[in-house]
Amino acid sequence: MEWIEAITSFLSEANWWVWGAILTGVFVLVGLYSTRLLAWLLVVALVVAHQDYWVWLKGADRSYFELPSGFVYHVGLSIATAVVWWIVTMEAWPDDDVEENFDADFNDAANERSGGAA
Amino acid sequence: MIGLNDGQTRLVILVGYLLLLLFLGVFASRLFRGTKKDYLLASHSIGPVFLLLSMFGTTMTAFAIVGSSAKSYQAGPGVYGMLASASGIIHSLCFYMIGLKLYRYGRKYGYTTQIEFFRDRVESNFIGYLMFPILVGLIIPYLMIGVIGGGIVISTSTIGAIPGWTENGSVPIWAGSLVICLVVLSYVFLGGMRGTTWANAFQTTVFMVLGAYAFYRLTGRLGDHESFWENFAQLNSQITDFHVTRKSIPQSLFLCFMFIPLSVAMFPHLFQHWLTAKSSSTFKLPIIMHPIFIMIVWVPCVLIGSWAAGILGPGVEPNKVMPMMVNKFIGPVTGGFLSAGILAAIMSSLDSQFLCIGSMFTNDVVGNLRKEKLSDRAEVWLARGFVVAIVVATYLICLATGFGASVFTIAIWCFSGFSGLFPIVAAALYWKRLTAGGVLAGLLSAIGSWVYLFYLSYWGAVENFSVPIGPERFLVMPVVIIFACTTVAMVLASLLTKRPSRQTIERFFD
Repeated sequence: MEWIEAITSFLSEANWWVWGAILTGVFVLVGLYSTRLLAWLLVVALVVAHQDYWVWLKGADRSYFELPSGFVYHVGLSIATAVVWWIVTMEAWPDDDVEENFDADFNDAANERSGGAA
Repeated sequence: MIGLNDGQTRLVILVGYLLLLLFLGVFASRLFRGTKKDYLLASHSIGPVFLLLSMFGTTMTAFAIVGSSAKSYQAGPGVYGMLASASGIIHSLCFYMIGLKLYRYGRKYGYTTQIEFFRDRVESNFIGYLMFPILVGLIIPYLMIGVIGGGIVISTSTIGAIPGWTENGSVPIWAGSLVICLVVLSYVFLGGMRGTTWANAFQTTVFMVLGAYAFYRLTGRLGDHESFWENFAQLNSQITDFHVTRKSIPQSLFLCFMFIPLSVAMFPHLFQHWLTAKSSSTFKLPIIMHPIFIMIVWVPCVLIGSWAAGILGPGVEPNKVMPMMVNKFIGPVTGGFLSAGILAAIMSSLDSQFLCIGSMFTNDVVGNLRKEKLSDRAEVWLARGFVVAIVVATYLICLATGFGASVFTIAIWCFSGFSGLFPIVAAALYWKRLTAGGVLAGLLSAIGSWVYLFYLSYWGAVENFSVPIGPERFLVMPVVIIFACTTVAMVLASLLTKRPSRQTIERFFD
């Protein structure tokens, strides 16, 4: 079909900012639907983004302070990772995260396991 | 310092630091409540900041300081992406998906070790007996990383300190390693988990602060400019083109390295640290900040390793790159403190590993074999005794290898073994159909494939060992093969054996 070919052709020739805009749009839509899903989608995006084949052998490309561009990319990814995990802990923390009185349970369970002699 | 040469100055600082740690252990022992729960789990009293520092300190070993700079010296800053940014993503994922869930079960059902969890989850005592030697067997190379790394740091830092003892007047590696073992053993022995957590938190702070300061000083010494940033740019511009690109790191291997950080999910010592947390919310800070802390430690180490390739030239033993850069270009006082910081990173992993081995022995072997329960006091002493035995065994193995093994290579093999066990812990938490047969098959496949691949690498003698796969001959690391073997064997055997009881399913999934 022609329209599929047109889209495929457009995407294959698109610049990084076009891809960035498309991905941002996808994230916004997912976020509007469910912030928990968005949080997990961002984690998957981090894993994909880690495989940065596009900056792999870029000659001797240098970035800020003469640092190798691939190195700068991965340092940026570390910072992005912390931000994503912050979002996950805000939006996708387990629902049953109640501060139960675990110690009572712990002592009972531990005593039971060890024959009640504790 | 007055009257002392550079090596002696550094030696005095190192001795002072080690004495400080001993004092911390003695102080922690004064708060010891005498119970097993307090000795092994610090009575679940650890808050978010201490949990972050202790968990981070535990995962950062000689591998992060000595190994990273050594690898970067050989392959360039691409090492950062290969291990550090990958670890930031995967470690936090493991803390969240595995650690948090195990913590909740641990608190609810009274577990001290991960073997207790697996015994209950798959309703099999035998699995516990099988897991014990496998986990201890995998931890021993992990201990070796610290023992060898510590010895190297002390030896390289004390050149000229004791003329006549060795050719260059340094403390020999065997003696440095011995001292490290004794100091860590002392504060673990006295302070248990509380002492270990305090020491970890203290040491993590020490190596991060001193590391940042030493990096600043080193940049100033090596550059020709006044400004730090100008010097920084100058040194980076001297990284060779070969190192700037990742020509020496095949893309398939880069992908494979994503599997290595999965090992944290199966580290028995980390399981024990998770259980020290006050509540599940305590995990939030470590999950968020762990990637940043990794970045703070790895960026300077990787850059120093890359700079060293140009400054020191080829032919330097990679393990010695970091201590050599420190000693050669930083004054003895700062250098001594930085060496203490590097030792801090190393010891903050060793202590947890020592303690967890003792915990597993008392809980999973002795506690399980005896019909009558031992007193808490007897169990604590038993744990201490087994820790001493393992430390002696590890030290003797290091002695037998001549302290010459590559820290990076041992670490990768050790982590590959633990990562190979990841499918088992993930399935135990998220797959109801997992059975004892499945875990048994998974464990045997993991350890069988690990031993076979280790044998193919001539027991680690072939560095960067990988296996070509498919018509394109993609290079694949052993960790991927072990991971695949475990998964396939575990799934097939689980499907072929009887389902777990309804009671167990309700206990862990409803």
